[in-house]
Amino acid sequence: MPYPFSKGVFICGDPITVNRESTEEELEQKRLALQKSLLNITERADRYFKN
Amino acid sequence: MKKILNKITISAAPFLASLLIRFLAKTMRISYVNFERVWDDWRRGKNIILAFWHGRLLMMPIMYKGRGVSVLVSRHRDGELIARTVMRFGIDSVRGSSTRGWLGGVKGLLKEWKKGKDIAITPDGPKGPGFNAQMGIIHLAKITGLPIIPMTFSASKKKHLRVGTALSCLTHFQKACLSAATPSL
Repeated sequence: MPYPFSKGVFICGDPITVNRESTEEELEQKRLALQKSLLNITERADRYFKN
Repeated sequence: MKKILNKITISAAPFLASLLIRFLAKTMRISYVNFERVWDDWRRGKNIILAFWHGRLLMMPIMYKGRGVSVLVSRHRDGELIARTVMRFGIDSVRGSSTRGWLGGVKGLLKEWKKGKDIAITPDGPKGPGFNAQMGIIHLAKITGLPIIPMTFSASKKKHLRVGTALSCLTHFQKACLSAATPSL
């Protein structure tokens, strides 16, 4: 939970689109891409005010 | 007595939570990074699927500037509290689960999408495993063709609280208020 009067940041990752004809393997790749993106931007957001 | 407390929690905690969120939003200085595309989609009325970790959920209601969004929440009590909290920000919800079989919530979300709404999902679900995206959101993106926008929030000063912990704090707070106000109970 953020403290009142602190600074906050929202960060978006790049959009991920899923082709309608995707194979199971491609779906799994998209799932991993989403997971990686969320981990990356969250780490970036947590470091955002530390510099 | 427990039933009454439960009822009070269910109706009062979301109100208190919404006050807290609005208070934080008012006093904080908030930046937006890499939002150009999302703002553009909202301006043009193009639907998107928003994805964020369950642990970063709290401030999300103040970020949303689109034409309408429905969020997937669990069928449990926490889900009910979250649904009632976001409702105070004009955000709808669909009850289901992204972890226990993705099919549950998908039907409801598709209905919302057909009404022209954006969709918001916490792909790691309320129960976890944390930071592990479940497949449901990928299937939803496949069916709808909507882009998934990963999103997150952080603050310069914060305390790590699990959503469940925060809610139980509110419950204790209410119990304390209630017993102070009505000693005969």
